[in-house]
Amino acid sequence: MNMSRMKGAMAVAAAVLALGACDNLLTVADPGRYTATDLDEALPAVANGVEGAIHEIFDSWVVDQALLADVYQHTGTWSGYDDPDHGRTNYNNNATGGEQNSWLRAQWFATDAEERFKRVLGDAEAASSPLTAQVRLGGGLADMLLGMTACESVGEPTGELMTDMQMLAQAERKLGDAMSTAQSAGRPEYAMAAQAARAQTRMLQGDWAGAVTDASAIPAGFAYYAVFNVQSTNSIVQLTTKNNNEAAGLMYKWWPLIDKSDESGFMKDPLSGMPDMRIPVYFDGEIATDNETPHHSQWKYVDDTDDIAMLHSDGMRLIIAEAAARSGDFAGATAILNELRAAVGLPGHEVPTDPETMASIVLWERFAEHFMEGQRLIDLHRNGLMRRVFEELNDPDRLGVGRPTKWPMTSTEPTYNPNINDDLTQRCLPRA
Amino acid sequence: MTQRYNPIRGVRALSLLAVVATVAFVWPAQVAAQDGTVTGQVTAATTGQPINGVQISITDTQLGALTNANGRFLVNGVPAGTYTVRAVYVGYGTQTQEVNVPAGGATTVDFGLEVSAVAMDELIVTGTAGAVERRKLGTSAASLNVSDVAEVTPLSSFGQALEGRIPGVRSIGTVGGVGAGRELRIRGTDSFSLGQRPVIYIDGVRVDARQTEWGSSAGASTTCCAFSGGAGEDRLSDLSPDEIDRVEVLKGPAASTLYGSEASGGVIQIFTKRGRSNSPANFALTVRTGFNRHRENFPTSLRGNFNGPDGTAAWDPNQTLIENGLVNSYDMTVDGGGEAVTYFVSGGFSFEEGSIKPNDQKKANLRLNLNWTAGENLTIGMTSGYVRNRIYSLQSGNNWLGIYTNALLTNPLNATAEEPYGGGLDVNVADAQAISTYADADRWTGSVSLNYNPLPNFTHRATLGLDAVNDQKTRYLPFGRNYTYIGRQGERNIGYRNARSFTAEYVGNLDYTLPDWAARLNGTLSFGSQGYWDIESRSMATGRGFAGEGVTTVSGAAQTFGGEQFSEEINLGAFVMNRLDFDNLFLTTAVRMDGNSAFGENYGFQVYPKADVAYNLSQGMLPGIISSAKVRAAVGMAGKAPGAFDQFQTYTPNTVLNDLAGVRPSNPGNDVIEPEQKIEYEGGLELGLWNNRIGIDATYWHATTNNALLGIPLPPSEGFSSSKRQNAGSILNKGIEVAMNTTLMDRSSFRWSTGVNFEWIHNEILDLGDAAFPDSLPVYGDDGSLLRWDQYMRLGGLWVGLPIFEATSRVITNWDPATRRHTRSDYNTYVGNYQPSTLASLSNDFSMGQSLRFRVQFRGEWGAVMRNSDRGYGVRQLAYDEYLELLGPGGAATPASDSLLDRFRLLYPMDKRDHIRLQEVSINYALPADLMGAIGLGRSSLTLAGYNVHWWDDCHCPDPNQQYRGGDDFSTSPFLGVPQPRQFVVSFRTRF
Repeated sequence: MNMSRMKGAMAVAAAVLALGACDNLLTVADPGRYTATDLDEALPAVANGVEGAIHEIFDSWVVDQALLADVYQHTGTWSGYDDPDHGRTNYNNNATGGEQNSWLRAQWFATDAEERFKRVLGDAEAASSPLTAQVRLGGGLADMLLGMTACESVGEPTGELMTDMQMLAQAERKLGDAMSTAQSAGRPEYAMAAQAARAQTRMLQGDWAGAVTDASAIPAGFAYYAVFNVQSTNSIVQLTTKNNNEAAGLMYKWWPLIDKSDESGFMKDPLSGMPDMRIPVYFDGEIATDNETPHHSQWKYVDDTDDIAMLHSDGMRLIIAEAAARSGDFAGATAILNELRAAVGLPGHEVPTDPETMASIVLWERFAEHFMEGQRLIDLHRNGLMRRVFEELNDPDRLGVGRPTKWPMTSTEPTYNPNINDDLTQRCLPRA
Repeated sequence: MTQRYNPIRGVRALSLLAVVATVAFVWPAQVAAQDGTVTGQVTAATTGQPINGVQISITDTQLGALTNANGRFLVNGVPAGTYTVRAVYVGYGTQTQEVNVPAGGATTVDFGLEVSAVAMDELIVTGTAGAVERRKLGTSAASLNVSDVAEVTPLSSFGQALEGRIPGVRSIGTVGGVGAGRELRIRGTDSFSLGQRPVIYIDGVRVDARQTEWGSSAGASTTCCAFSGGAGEDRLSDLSPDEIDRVEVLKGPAASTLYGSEASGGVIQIFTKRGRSNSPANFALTVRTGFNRHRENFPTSLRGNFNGPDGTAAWDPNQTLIENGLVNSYDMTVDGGGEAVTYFVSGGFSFEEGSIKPNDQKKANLRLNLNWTAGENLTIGMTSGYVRNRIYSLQSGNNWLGIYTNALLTNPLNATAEEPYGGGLDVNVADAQAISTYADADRWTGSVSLNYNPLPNFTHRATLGLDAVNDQKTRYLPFGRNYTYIGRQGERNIGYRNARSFTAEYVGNLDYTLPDWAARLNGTLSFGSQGYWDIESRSMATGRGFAGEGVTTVSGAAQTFGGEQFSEEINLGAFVMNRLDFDNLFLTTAVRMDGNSAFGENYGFQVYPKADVAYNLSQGMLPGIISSAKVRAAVGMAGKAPGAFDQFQTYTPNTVLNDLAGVRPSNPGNDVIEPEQKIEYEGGLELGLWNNRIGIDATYWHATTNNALLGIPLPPSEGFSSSKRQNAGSILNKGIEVAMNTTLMDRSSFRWSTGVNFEWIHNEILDLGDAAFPDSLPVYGDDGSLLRWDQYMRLGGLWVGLPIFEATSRVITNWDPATRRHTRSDYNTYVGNYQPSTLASLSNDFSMGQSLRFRVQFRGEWGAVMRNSDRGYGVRQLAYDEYLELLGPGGAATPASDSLLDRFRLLYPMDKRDHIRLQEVSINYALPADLMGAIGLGRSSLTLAGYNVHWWDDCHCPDPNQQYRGGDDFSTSPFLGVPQPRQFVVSFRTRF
C-alpha cells in the first residue's frame, strides 16, 4: 500500500471544496428576474409597476363586488363565486383577499419607489419627477380601493389597524400629494386622475362639499381606466362573459329587463322601457356552466384587453348630483341625471318630491352609469340598503338579514402582521 | 439580474473533479501474467433449470463473470493456483467451491444452488463507496432485480417494476394518460415545500426525473397553458424496462448520507445491463401486445335514462369514451463479449395508446454499454442510452379542455345531437378531442467510468456522465372549432425545455489490515468527491388567432406571445468513509461536506455525518430454526437543497398598462437559506428461518427533518408577493417496514413462493418555528355541533401536532328540513391525512413443472383521505349518478336531489382512499425447448398478464389513487383526474 498516494488523492479531493469556497464556482444568477440594485437602472418600470399593480387586479374586484351586491349571481361551480353570491363571506372566506393583498403590496411598492427615486435622482429632482407623481397616484389609489373595499386595513408596512374611514383619509392626503407633484411635473393626466379619485374618497367620507369641489374640476370626457393588456387580461371577460367560462351572470332580478336575442343588446330602462346603452347585455337562452342557469351576460367588456373605467367625468357628475340630492336640491340633482340620460337617448326623470324617490333615482342612475365598475356594493353599503334590496327578493338562499355589506380585511395581513391581533374573530365585518 | 449563467463555470467545477480522477489514475499499475480459465454451469438444485445472471467471482482477485441464459460461465486469465469460486444470486443461497487452476489449463466447476429467501451475500454498491455484501450493511438498502421481474411480468414502465415490491417505496399510477406522471416517493413526506421524489441515478449519473407539467410555469402564465392539463409527462417513462438489470434503493439518510444535499428523500440507482465476458452473442427478443382499458366505473352510468331537449338520449362516457388502447412493443437485446471487451446492445420500439383517445406514446430506445479491460488493473466502462419519446398527451386534469372533464361534467338533460354528452361546461367533447398535444423528447444519458486498481487493496473509480433532455411540447387548437376563451380562431403553443445534468465522481477505496495485535480487525477507508451541475432552460411561444385553416405555426397567428425561464444549480461535495470489520461485526462511519449554489450566500458548507453497525449472529448463538440473523442499526444525515434561486431577493418583470414594461416585487429572498437536514435513525433485524426458506427483514426507522423550508408569507403590507423561504420547520416521520419472503413448497413439479411487504408510517409536524402563530381550531362532534376550540399553531393550512399534509375541510353544522338547506362551519377542521399510513402487498408465485408459472400480486393502502372534489363537482354539475338517481320522472328535481345539491354546493365531500388492488396477475409458459430449438430459438416463453386489474374501495370515485396533477403531489384531489387504466398484455420472449 502506498499511503502517500492515498494522501495525495485525498488532498486533491479536499482541494475541490477549498476551491469551491474561494472562487465563484457556486455562484449562479437568474436572468429572468431583477435584483433591487437592477431597479435603480429601471425607474420607469418601477413607476409603471406601481400603477399597473392597481389596475391588473381591478377586474377581479369588480366581479367580487357584483357578486356580493345584487348585480351578479354565481352560474358556475366554483365556491369562490358561490359563497359571496350567497352572502357566505367571512374572514376565512373572503373573495377580495387577493385584491386587498395586491393593493397592500402596491402601497408598499409606492413607498419603496419614492425612496428609490430620491436616492437615485436626488431629493429635488424626485420631488418634481413624473415618476414620483405616478407612484403617488398609485399609492393613493391603493389606499382608496382598500378603504372602499374592506372595513379595516393597514396603511403602512406591518402597520396597525386603520378603519376604512381612516384609510380613505390617508388616501385623500396621498392623492392631494399626487396632484401637486403631477402639476409640478407637468403631467396633468395624473393630476386629474388623482383629483377624481380624491373626489370619490371625499364623497365616501361624507365630505360632500369637498367632493363636489374636486368633481367639478374634472372636465367632461375625462376617464381613468384600469388598463389591461395581453398579459394581464380582463378576467371579467374570461370568467363571466358569454362564450367564455360563464361562471357568473347577471342576477335573476334583472332578467325581466333583458330580452332574449341572438344578438347582443341593452338592458331596458325601467322608466321608459327603452334600451339603456349604458348597460350592454347579451342573452340568447344559453345555459351557463352550472348546466342549469340561463346565462345573462354583461356585454360591456367583450375582449380580453377591454379596459374598465375606474374614474370618469360622468361619475363625477353623479357625485355632484347626489350631493345636490342630499342637500335637498332635487331639481338640480335631477337635471344632472337627466343630462346623463339624454346623452344615451333616454327620456328624463320628473323631479321627485320626496327624498326616497330621489334616492332611488340616484341609485338607479349610478347602477347604470357605473355598470360593472364595482360601485354598486358601495352604494348599497353607504346607503344602508343591502337588507332591503335582498329582502325584496324573498330568496331563502340570499337572505337580507346578516348579509355582509362590505368585505372583511384580508386574513393574510393580520395572520402575519405582528402588530395586529390575529384572532380573526376580532375583525370587523358589517352585516345588514 | 443581468448576469446570465456562465457555461464555463459549471465545466470548471466538474473539471476539478476530473483532476482528482486524473491524479489518482496516473500512478503505474502492476502487471502480472495469468493464463488459466475457470468454467462451469449454475443450475437450480431442485429443478435443474439453468440460472441466468449469477455472479461468479474468484476470491482474492478482481476476476469474475455472469452466467448466460444457459447458466454457463467462463472466467479467463486466472493465474495458476488454488482459489475459491463463489456463486451469488438473489433468491438462492450463496455457494463456494475450491478449485485448482493449472497454468494454461481449464478447470470446470458446477453449482446447484438451493433456494434461499435470505440474500446476505448480495453486493450493494449504492450508498457505499464500493461494492459491499449486504451482510456488512448497517442500513436497509433494498435491491430489485428487474430482469427477473420482467421474466414473469411484462413491464411497460420502470415505475411499474417498483410497484408493491419494496416496502417503503410507494410507486403508483395516479393518472390515466400514457406516459404521464406517477407517484414515486420513499418513506412518506419529509418536506413542506420541496419535491418528494427521490433522486434518480442511472449507472452513476444523476438524471432528470421530472414528472410534473412545466407548461404553465414557464414564467408567462398567459403565454400558454398547462399543455395537457396538469398531468405532465414523467421523464422516468423514457426508460425501457428491458434495458434495466437491477435497481438499488436507499430509503433515507441513514443509508444515503454519501449523496449529501440531494438525498434526504432517498436515492434510486438504476443499473442497466452489461455484457458477459467470454460469451458469444446472446440475442433476446421480447414482443408485447395487448390493450389498455378503463374500468367502466365512471359515475355516469345513469345518463342513458335521460333525454335532452331535442330528444337525444344522453351518452354515457362508460359506453362511448372508453376504448381499447393498443399496446405494442418490440425489444431486442444482444450481449456478449470477449476477454477484454464486453458489450450490451439493445433497441426497442413501443407504441401504446390510452383508453381515452387521442392519447398515445411512441418510444424508441437504443443503448450501447461497453466494458473494456484495458489492462490488468484498469477497466473502462461506457454507457450510452438514447430515447425518443413522443407522447400524444391526453387533455385531462383540472383543465377546461379536458376530454374526460367535458364528457363527465355535463347535465344529461341538456344532451343534444351536437353535444350528446350534455354540453354546458366549456368545450364540446368532439372539439376537445380535436386538439393535438404532443410532448416530444430526445434524451441521451451516458457515462464513462474508469476503475483502476493499482494494488489489490487500493481501488479508484471515476465517473463522468451527462443526462441531456430536449423536450418539445406543442399544442394546436384547430381553427374553426369552439374553444370558449379563445373562440374559433385557433391557437398554437410551443415549448422547449432543455435540461442538462452533469455528474462527476471520484471514489477511492483502500482495504487495510491492522498490526498483529489487531489481526482480526480489517478495514476499508474510502474517500472521494462528487459534483453535479444542473441547468434547465424553458422557452415558450403562443400564437392565437389564425385567418383560416392551413397555417399552424405560431408566427402565422394574429397575436404572438413568448416566455422564457432558466434555472441552474451546482453542488460540490467530498466525503470520507471508513468501515471496520471485526469477525461478524461491521462498523461504518462517514462524513460528507457539501457546497451548493442554492445555499444562501452567507451560509457556507453543510456537513452530513453517518454511522452504521451490522452484526451477523453466528449459528451457535441461534435457536435451531434460525439459520441466519443480522441485527443492524444506523444513523445518518442527508439534505435537500433549496430552490435554485430562493436565496435571491428579486423583482419580476411584467407587462402593465398599455404594454409598458413594469416590475413587481416577487421573491423576498433569504441569504442565509440552508438545506433541509434530515436525521434518520434506523434499526433492523434480518432473519433466515428454516434453512433460509423464510426470510424476514424488519426495520424501524425514525427520521426528523430539521430546518425544513417553509414558504412563510409576509404580510402583504411588506410588499413581496412570494412567501419567504425560511428554514423554520421540523417534521417527524417514523415507520415500520417488514418484508417476508418464503418458498412454501419447492419440488421439481411444484414450487410456491410468497412475499409479503408491510409498511406503517406516521408523520407529524413538530415545529413551525417563527412561522407559527397561535390560532384556534374548532372541533366538531359527529352531529356537527361545535364541541370546543383548540389552540394550534398555524401556518397557512398546516397545523402543528397534526399529521402533515392533512386534509382539512369545512363541515356541515346544521340542516333545516323546512328549507332543505344546510349550514356549514366557518372554519376548516382536520379530517385526515392525504398519505396512507398503512401499506401492504402480497405476492404469490407458483411454478408447475418446468414450464408453467403463475404470479399474482395484491396491494393495499389504508389511512388516507381525499378532498373528493370530483364527486362534489359532479353533483354540482347535475351530472353524476349520485345526483341523477335522486331525480324524479323526466329528470325533475326532488327534495332528496335538492338536499344533495345544497350540501355539495357548500362543501366538497371527504372520502377515504382505502383500497385493495389486484395489481398484477400473470401466467408464464415456457415453450418446449425442442420445439423452439427446431426453429433455431433458445429458451422462450409466452406470458399472459394483467396489470392494475381490479380494486375494491369505498372512495365514491373511479379510482382512489387518481390525482389530477399526477406525480408526487401529496395533496392533490382527484379533481377530474383520469384514473389509470387496466392493462392486459400477451408477451413473447425468446433467446437465440
